[in-house]
Amino acid sequence: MPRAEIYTYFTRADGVTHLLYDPKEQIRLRLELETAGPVAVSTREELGPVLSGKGVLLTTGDEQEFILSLGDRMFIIAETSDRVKLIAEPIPYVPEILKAVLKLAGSTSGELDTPPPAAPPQKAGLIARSTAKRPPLAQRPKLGRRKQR
Amino acid sequence: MPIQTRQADLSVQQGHETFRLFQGVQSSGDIFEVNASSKAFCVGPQSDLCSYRLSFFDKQAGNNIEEMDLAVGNPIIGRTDAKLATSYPLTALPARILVTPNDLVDNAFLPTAFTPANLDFVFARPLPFVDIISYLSEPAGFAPGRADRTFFYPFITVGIAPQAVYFILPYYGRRYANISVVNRNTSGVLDYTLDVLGVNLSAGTTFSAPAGRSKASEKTLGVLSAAAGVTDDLVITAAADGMFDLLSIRLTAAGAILDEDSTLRIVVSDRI
Repeated sequence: MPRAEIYTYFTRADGVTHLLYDPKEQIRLRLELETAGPVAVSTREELGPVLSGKGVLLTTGDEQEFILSLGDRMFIIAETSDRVKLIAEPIPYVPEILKAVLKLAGSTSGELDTPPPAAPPQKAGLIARSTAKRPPLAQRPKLGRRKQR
Repeated sequence: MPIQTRQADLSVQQGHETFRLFQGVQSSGDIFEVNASSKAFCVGPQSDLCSYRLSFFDKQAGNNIEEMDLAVGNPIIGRTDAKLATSYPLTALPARILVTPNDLVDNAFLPTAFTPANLDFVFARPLPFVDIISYLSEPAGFAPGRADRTFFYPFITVGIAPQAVYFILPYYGRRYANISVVNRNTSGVLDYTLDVLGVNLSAGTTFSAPAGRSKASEKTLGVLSAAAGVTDDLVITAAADGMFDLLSIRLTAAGAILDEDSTLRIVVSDRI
């Protein structure tokens, strides 16, 4: 079961872009700058300088919310030491809802226990598939029942 | 640059909402640094100096350095950036916020009347302190001004005339002082006289006698006389007497014995 993450992130005063959060699923990321800043965040990896406008400046005392899909990454940049409150919470998506419905219906099928996450958009042919394609459910061998004596 | 015991980035990491720069000042050339951005600055309650200059990086300013004055009752509101990944022009120093005193500081000042041949000595010369509060987050409000400060000397040591004892106290921007002396002698053989001077410092040293002393203008504000068993006091106000950098109190005693049981109390305030 995915869990929320809550912690305080301290920026480094180096003017270099750093990875703030790399989600493993679709999440709602809430950020609040607790100190003066300036601190900029973006899904772009090249953010500097801080005030260049390549990212979004966080506002002191205001919580700002971002939706990140799998494959998005959030970067951060600052020139001083600053405190950023970070709350990342997963967003329930269709397979999870379907699983909940099936459980309610009394299904014992394990097929939907671990639904595959939505894959990030990728260019065709860039990454080769490392595992064989799974056969469809209908073609799988049926498990035999034990004979009853 | 003095060794600074407090750093703003540590205040950030420790979760504070303010950073307090609170440290003794050795000279007017002292430069203090604030290495975290600020939402506002104000003079702290225990500041002895009344005016400071803030310098910070700004590309629109000449030499990329912007300067603003911070004084008692005049906070700076708005974000001031420290840019540690940027350097001040022609230096390799990171563009922190720099703080320097606007007031003149001379911790070696001696009044004109000070005479080493008479074995005069300085009984008390409190080190002036810089006290500036930097707000790391949005300020909810500001301190209304500096707190009153009391200098209390419970056992003053007095030599026999012509030896004099001096108390040299910071008075930057203050508008009121109350000086009170209590002579606890009961035998009636030791009378105190206190000459109070207002001193405004200036740069350079004197050529005329006493040569080599710091230049300063001195103004007599009043004289207290306290015979044995008597209390005397003096009130100084900005409206009536003016404003000064220092108060210099010269204490002499006429009599036959030494006394260490009398008290001197000075209260200085920004309010009249």
